[in-house]
Amino acid sequence: MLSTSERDDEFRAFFVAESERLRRLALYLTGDAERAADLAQEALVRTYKHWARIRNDDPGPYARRTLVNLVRSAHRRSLLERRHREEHAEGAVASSGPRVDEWLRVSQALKTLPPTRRAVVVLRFYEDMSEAQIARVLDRPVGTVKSDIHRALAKLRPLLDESSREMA
Amino acid sequence: MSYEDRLRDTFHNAERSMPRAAISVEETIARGHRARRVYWASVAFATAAVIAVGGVSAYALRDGAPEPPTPASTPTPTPAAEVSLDAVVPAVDRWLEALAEGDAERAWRLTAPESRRSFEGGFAEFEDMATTLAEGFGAWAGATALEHKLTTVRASDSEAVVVVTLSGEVSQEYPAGPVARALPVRVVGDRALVDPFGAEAGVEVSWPESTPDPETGAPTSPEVAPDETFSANVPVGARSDFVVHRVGDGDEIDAWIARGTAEGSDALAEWSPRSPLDEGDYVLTVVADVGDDTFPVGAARFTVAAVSASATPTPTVTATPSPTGPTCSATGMSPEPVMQPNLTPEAATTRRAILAAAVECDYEGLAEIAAQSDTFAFTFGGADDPAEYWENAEDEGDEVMRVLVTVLNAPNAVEETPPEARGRHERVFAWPSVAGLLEPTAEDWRALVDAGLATDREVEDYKDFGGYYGWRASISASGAWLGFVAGD
Repeated sequence: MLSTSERDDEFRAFFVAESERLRRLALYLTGDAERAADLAQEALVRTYKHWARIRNDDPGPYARRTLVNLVRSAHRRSLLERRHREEHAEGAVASSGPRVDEWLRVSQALKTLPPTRRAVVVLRFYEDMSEAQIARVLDRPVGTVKSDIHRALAKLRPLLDESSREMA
Repeated sequence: MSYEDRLRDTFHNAERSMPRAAISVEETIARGHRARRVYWASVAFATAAVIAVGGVSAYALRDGAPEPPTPASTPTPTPAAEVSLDAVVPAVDRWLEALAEGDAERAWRLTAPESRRSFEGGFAEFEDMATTLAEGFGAWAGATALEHKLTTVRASDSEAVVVVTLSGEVSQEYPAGPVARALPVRVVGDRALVDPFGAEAGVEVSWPESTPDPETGAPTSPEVAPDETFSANVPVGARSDFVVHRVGDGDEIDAWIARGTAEGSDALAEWSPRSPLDEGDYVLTVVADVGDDTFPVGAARFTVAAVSASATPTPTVTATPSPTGPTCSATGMSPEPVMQPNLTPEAATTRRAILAAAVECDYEGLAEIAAQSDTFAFTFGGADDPAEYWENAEDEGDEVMRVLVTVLNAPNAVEETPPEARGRHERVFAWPSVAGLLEPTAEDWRALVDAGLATDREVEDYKDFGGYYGWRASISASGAWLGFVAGD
């Protein structure tokens, strides 16, 4: 049986290696720094809670899956959606001008995607996960993941390319 | 450079201008400690996997166990004179109301010091958890048919520990249904304080276990035999008291000590009533005494059905089961597929074979059909044997076979995703139709409801989410079974 101190020590090592990456993933998924930190921490708390069960597997995918589910749950409760709409009402992308920073540009483009598709594209192109890995994390068929990527790229391409041209 | 590589660069360049924030490891671990403690305190609601107990009899007191049971000393019906139990039920009700109303300060005042100490950050941390507590405990403030069953664990002239078992119809993340929950309460004189978090360890009643209603998700009261063997995971070495009350009647029916046998970090304690229980609704309370003056508790509802001469284990369908083969949730359903003339002959053959195997509960046969496709999807949760996965799911009450038959008899659609996206350059038939269509019509959603695969409310959730993510199946035009999965 794992003692509490052993659990804490193991988890600390995992935390050091993964927490910032998880926070950034959450930031890409939500576009909101405060919310992202909260959700990343909640995912880490849940990872800790089930540490004894998942420690022998790779806990990273568990934490990412938990995080994505938390983001999607939050979306379903419309909290993020409401914030999303408010931010869009301010016309952040259109009015940001040529000096808009890269983060804001990408973040606003991602917000045009539904949450699951946003998760797929971030896991694929930010986390560099394979389609099969994404399928496991999201509990989604590989074919659907491919379809999601296809649709997400079709949506993102004009937004990001257009922004690039504006910047140039 | 490809567009995909440019997108990778874009993501990594954007990192430089991301807003910064730090997450504290110590705070995270402290929250993790509390989450584990609250988990144990909340475990009466857990629908997570529990051990199967059907035939497991690690220490069955009923069947001539080597150590004869001795009456529990703890469920004493009359408390000591100086201690008033009159304050117990009002204290519990006020505590639940305070949580439901988000009044963390009042709830904190009604919380015993033993539980307060589990919040290392004091009230501030308790307040942080107010939302979670409101959703769990606070939901009881709106319970209907609420009853309080009292079990005195320890009593002296000046103080007592009483376990209050709440029994009622509660709506939480699911529609209202019969549930039970136990809460230790500490009484000093005439003042009572609730102590749900004081115990480090937990009790998890593993049988009887409520199975959610397949249509609504509401908890149900499981039917048990009059001489059922009940079981709970309790801390190793703890003395465990099993107490049964009848719902609607405050009197205790039976109480006994059960001793557990160690299994991993927990012990399995089992107990059977000393005499068969009458027909009716009951609530079981399990109290563990771990020897440090803390008392992990668990509770469960159950129903003893009327015994008839022809009584048999209740099947999940009313149709005639196979007289010799295994039974499952699809037993008695028709293997004949609903006509769908748009299918290719190969796809129709595969569909027919799947239906035939499903109604026969032939998990291995289904797995063989699935194995003919190199990309068959059934779960992404770590399982690699679909037959085992489906059989376990059925054993745990998930009616996957019934769902499979229902899904394949719902209207289908040819998947509209581009071939390069789905990795297959042939037509793919998807069931139900909403699973394959990019823009399902109102008729498609209606067909989902009519098939019994979703409620109107769930349809709205799917629409809000951007697509259907419930149970779905797919077969290629050449007859390869590609998947039967649920989830988003």
